[in-house]
Amino acid sequence: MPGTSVPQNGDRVTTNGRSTPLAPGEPAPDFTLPAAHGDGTVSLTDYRGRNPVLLALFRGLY
Amino acid sequence: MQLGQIAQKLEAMGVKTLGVVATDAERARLYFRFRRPRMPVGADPDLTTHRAYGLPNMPPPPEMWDAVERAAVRELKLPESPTGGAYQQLAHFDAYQVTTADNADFERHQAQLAGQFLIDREGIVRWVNVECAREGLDGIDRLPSDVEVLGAARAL
Repeated sequence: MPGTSVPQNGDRVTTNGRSTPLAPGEPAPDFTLPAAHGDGTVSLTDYRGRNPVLLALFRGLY
Repeated sequence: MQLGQIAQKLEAMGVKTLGVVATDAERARLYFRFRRPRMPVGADPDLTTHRAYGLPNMPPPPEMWDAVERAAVRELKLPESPTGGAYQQLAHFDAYQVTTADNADFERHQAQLAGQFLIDREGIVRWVNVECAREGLDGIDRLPSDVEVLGAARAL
């Protein structure tokens, strides 16, 4: 993908898919994804130990 | 209440907001060039994050299209119309033209539900909202209220 910084294997979501949504009290799976708003990556790990995070998962652009 | 507005209020409380959109980064960047997001957004065309967080995915039920139309009526604050067309109006106002790449995403993703997760500093989920979990299909495209989200953030 031209102009896209794609994380290396192992940098993406490391948790297997699950059949029910995560519930309060469960650990949030880490992820690192190519940034869609600019260059670089977006990673949940960057906020660990620093800030709480509201994570919003959207559909595609269809 | 749009997520960007909630994100601004959360920021004042020290809570960061991250988004993940289920399309490739190149297409998402094109979209966000015209609609700048108020938060960092990652691109995940393969739904790996959605699966890891357990968001429901299913073949689109036939009644979903009526629900999408009702969501557009709600978004545009239009009166209900038996002839429909609100979704097309919403697309017109959004000025975004769906492409073959977007249609291909839909074919692969089927009915992928959205969701929001509030995660504390230690990486533990503390609050969850899954689209349609409370109202059924009438909850499509409906975000939780800012009162609910901010209340959950205050409880961290």
